[in-house]
Amino acid sequence: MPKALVDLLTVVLNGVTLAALYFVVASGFTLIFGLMRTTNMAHGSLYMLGAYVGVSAYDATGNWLAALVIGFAALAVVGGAIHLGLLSRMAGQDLRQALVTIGLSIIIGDLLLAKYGGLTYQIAPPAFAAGSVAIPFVVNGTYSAYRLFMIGAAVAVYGSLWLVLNRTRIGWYIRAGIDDRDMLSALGVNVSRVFLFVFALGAGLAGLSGVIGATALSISPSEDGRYLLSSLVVVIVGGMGSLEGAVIGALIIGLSEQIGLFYAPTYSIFITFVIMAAVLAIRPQGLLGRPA
Amino acid sequence: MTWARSQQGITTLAIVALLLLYPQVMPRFWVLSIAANSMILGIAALSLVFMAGYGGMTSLAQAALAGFAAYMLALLSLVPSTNATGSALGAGLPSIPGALIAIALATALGALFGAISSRSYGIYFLMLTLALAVGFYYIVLQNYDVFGGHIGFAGIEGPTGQPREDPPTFYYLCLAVSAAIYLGLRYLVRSQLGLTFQGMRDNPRRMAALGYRVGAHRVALFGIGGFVAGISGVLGAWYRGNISPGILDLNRTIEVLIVAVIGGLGYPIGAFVGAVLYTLIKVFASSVTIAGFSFDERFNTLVGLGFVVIVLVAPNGIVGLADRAYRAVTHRSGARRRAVDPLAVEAGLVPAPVAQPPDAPVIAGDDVPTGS
Amino acid sequence: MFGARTGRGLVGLMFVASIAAAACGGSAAGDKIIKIGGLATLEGPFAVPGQDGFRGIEQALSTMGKKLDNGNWQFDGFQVQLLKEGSDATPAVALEKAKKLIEQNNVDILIGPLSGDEGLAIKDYAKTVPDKTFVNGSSAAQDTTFRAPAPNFFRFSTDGAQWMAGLGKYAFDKKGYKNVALVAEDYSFPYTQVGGFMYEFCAAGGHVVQKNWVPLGTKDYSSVVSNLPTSGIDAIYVALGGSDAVNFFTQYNQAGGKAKFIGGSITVDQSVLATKGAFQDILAGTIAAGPTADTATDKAWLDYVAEYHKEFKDGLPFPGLFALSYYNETVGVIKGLQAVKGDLSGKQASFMAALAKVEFDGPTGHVKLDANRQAISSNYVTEVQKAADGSLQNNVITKADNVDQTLGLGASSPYLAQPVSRDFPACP
Repeated sequence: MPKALVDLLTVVLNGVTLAALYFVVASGFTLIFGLMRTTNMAHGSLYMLGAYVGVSAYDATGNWLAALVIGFAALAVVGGAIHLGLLSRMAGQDLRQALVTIGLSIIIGDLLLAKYGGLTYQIAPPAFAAGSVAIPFVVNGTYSAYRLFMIGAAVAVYGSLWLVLNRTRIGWYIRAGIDDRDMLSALGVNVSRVFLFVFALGAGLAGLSGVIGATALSISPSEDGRYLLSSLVVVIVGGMGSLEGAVIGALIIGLSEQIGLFYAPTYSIFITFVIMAAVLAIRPQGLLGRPA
Repeated sequence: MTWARSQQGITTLAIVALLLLYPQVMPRFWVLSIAANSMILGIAALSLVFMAGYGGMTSLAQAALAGFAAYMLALLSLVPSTNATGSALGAGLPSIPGALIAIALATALGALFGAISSRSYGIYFLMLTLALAVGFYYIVLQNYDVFGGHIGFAGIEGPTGQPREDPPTFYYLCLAVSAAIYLGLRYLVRSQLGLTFQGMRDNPRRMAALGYRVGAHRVALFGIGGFVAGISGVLGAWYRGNISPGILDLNRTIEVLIVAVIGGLGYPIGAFVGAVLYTLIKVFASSVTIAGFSFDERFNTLVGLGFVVIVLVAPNGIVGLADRAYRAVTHRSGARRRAVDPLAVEAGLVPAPVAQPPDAPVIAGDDVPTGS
Repeated sequence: MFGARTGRGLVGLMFVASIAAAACGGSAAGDKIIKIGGLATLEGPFAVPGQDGFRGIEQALSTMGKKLDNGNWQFDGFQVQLLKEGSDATPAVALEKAKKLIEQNNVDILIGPLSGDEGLAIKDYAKTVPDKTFVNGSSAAQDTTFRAPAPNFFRFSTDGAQWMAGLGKYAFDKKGYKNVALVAEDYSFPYTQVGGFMYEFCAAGGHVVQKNWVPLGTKDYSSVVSNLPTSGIDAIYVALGGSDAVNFFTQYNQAGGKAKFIGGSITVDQSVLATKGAFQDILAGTIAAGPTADTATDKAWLDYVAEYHKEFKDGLPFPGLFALSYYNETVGVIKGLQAVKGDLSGKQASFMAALAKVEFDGPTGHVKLDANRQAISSNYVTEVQKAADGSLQNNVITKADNVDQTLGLGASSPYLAQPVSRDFPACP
């Protein structure tokens, strides 16, 4: 097999595995926006908080799965508190909500810096996904087992969310709420409880993705902005509020980032934003988004 | 009424006198790092207040447009090889023509951004402009051939020389420019064009039905936003003397929004009030101690907390809060006065007295088309 | 007109407040007080090094003087007052803070900043304030002193190229590396480090066959790893710091890579070695160079480390190159002040003249300045080795003394004909 083709296949695989991480991070963000029209500008900070909670939990238990569960649960609680304490008081005011969450992200980032300092932390992958596995057609003939596992994790998150949305009562409420919020409350559903559930779930997913990301890469201060931006771009390209859109957006961004890094490293990050601007200029609501 | 008017005239006169006297009595740091810096930041925030207030376009691209003008100014006015970074770039124009061309280019870029985003509204518009801003930041950061990369350019000098050498003159330059923009925008919003902008903000569909070309007007509005932001960028470049990608990074982008919100998105004067307050907080937060806790190293927590509190208790910013308090007091004393800034009323930002709460005056409601 | 009126009222209030605040900035009477401004990074990824830099300043003051109850330090004939400001590692903020210290706090001497691009901006600013003395912190760009220096800017620490002294020769001669690929962050500090390495390595006959400049902000290095040659290279030169280094090594390890590494000065320092992870398995044998070495055994170094631990209970396991740089700068300043007995009159001219002549034996070796007021001092080549307890540490391989800014090549060397950049120097 010619080297150029091996290179391309490897880079595509790099892009798909990165897209898996981006999807898990963005899924909570798009869920919250879809139902509540809340642009949670603290989503990256929740990712970072989840990652640090995961680091502490892993230190205490030595168990990756425990760290993952604790990261999810802790952030679901934090998300619930943010929703009840702040955002539910300004329901329907998109800009004010976005501004409050900007303020929150400044505070969370600074307090995490105080607690964990500037050092880099990493969580060891679980035994079943440690090291590298031999697969043909990639550079060097081996590939990271954990990165392949991330694809599975993303599929699992997508599948679980799909089941919740399509096979449960609360999922039915959520989908109805995305289509028509007024109708939902007219039907006598306790909308505020549905909102609380969704916000906690979205924040929990941010925490979960923080643990997954801190294992694949690492966690250190000021990664909040980076994951907020990636979530925004993924969700906006795909269409805000759409889970399938987030899948497509994550693939486009993950692939463009890695292909760019390989073939044109100097402008690799810039390319991502060109794609986003181009999509929005042509289709303002994103690829799979519906007009609001 | 004549008494009220003359009292108003006296207040205005006193303020103008204070503003003119300020650089003569204050030390250099307070003239430049606080006052001039605030005015430069305030002009950038004013460009956002204008676009948000009169066009419903909450743009996060204003820091990028200001930064673009600063880079264009550097490229136009630096003299090759003799400038401080030894760059081979620079057209060697005098500072004023260089500035005018730079501002014109920023206006053009604003219009281009407007064309790209002409069909996006609300939060989508916010995000699209953020993407344009961040994308431009990465060009500037990574490109050494034109933008000087991570280091940027040094040795930019304005018509008043180095601000440090002559702080009052630079201060007066900033003051004159600020006043001209403020008054110019006031004039503009009362003109036919201004009314059209507001009509489009409130109901783009109806305006389109009336035969107005909504897209073209949004492009024009963004162009004006680029013009004002560009002026801020040029002044900022003269003030600092050097430019680097840090002047248009994500922090700076958010900073412009924070300033506008602190001051009050519905009030043009709020842009300057917010800028002064923000600058003071930025400079002095590290020496604040509350209840025995020093914010020496945690000043960002203080900034974040302050911002959250302002958004919570003063959705219309400091000026909105003061306005409300003043109104409450004067109502009790029985004085009947016009209760809101006519500018804001004309803008439809602050509804005529005691109408619906003007909580989120800038993000358009659900009836706004999202394209296609 | 209430909106505008209350707005104006607020503007007026702010005037009053600002005039009052400005009036409160007077200085205390008594013994002559020299104000020193400290500037380091306190936000973002460089916050920890920034705190360590401030420890360096305070340790030098406490070792050489006597700390008083009022927070100042007493010296023979003068007191030193320290005022600290934090930046976020961008030149724009560093300049703002420097201006605050110089123009608002009226400091006589500024020590800082921490990072290279900030340093270049401060040097340019220094030229506009000729009657104040600027002393570097730990910023290490070559051109802060090498090209177009400012007459009132002094640097008692070595630059990022000097930090590589000895490494290129050692890699070529002793390790036998002839062809290397490089991975580095795409900005001026890594350019300087790569330059310092290549001056020696290329001159010795080595080849740098591939350069991977990775944009700042990149966290996923998998496609950079995929791009590295799998054959035809003897080692990979890695100039990444903190989380970037951790991410790169992790992904290189996961991809099953087997190459040897050569590191920059912060690539395999304590902040990276202290991060637990499987990537550590591939770091043993990595050679690197820098102005400090944790396990050096010189008495001056051991005393310095003991003093550091005594003074700062919350300090790092070892004071790093940031602490050492700020420490040396401050020692230089105090020696200069002592030479003129704290007399800064005459626009500081006699002080600056004395400062340029200061020489001293620092924790790692002798420090003196060249004609551009740039330090000539010592440098270590180190190798990462497994300690008895299984942890990784940097052991000293060689130490070079009196390293000048050209690494002994001389200012007319073709390697120094241009500023370092993505493409220069080159020896493919």
